[in-house]
Amino acid sequence: MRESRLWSLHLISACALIVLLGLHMMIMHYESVLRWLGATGGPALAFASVVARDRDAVMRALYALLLGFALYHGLYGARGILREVWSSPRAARLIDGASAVFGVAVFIYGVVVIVWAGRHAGTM
Amino acid sequence: MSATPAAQTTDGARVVIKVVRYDPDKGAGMREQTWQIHPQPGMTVLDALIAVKEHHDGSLAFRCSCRMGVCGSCGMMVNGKPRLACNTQIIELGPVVEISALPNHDVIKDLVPDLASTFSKHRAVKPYVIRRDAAEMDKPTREFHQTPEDMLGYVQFSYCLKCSLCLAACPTEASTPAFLGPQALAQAYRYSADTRDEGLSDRAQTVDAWHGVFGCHLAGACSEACPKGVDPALGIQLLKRALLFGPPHRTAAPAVPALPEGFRSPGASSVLEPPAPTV
Repeated sequence: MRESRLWSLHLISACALIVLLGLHMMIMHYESVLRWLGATGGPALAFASVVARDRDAVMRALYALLLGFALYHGLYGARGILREVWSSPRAARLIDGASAVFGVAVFIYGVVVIVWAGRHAGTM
Repeated sequence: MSATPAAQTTDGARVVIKVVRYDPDKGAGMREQTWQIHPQPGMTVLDALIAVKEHHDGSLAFRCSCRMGVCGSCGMMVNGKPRLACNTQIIELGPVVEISALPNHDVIKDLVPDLASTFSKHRAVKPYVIRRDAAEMDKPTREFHQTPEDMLGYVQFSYCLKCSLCLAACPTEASTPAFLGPQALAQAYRYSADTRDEGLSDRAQTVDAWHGVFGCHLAGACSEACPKGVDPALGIQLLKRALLFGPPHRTAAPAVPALPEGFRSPGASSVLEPPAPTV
């Protein structure tokens, strides 16, 4: 894939993270703001609240998106730094490959956890 | 041969010229050598170096040509900044003028940098107008319209002298020699933005890469160093945009319709045939 595509995905993921991280922060850490906006429900870290989020398909999708965009954005940045430290063609291939493998592996693991949590939330 | 020991302050009549010298034939490393000169009104750093070469040490090596800031030959580090020696007034530099070869380049001798890598990077971006019609590229037979407004879209970048001051200033070039550099990338944009050109996709193979346009961190030192106002940093950012969204011009400049065979303007004198190609 051309570097311009990878770079533009980095920018797109940054925009997506502003929204998704903002939502995450609001839900998890700014409950008073949500209540002021009229939201109901218990504290974010209460067992019932966690179960409710795990069972909600929309929340699971948002978690998967947040995981994907955060992984891509972070790993693209780390890859850039590493490629500047070690700039030989062989090092570049190793860094690119390792970043891709690591990113895909962590994303798959994270999605599996999200799906599993959705199926078993509140049953254990 | 060194002149009198360098004075750290001027008495108003002399300037100390301190040059970092290097002679590969002698095997020793870099060394400093100093001379004192009388600055004259309007004297440039190049004038001072020529005076040193003529009156003190004929072995001092440096490049120069036009002595008026249009050829780019005399690029060197002067008091910590990459400058054209012919474009830099001695009187603006203080009592001590420290001169060394351009950084980020191998040194051939004294103040003469090896610019081979600069030129090879420049060639790599195909710095010429590219048309889809291969036959027309090989043997041009016609002209292509371009309005003054079209020319304004790229003319700033056409002022490049290939003096390599931007490459000397670039921090990415210092750490990553494989980086194409601001000079080549600005020229890639100059031609891609030319309405006569259809070659952005040809250049993309080289510039749309990690060591191409995306190696730039927007330090801006290149634009600060450029003696001709090219602003390579701007060219690089515009090139990024062109790689994502296409060149600024949607359609290439049309060719002027070919004149009928044997046509001759009324009153025109006979047109000489061009000389035979030599390659």
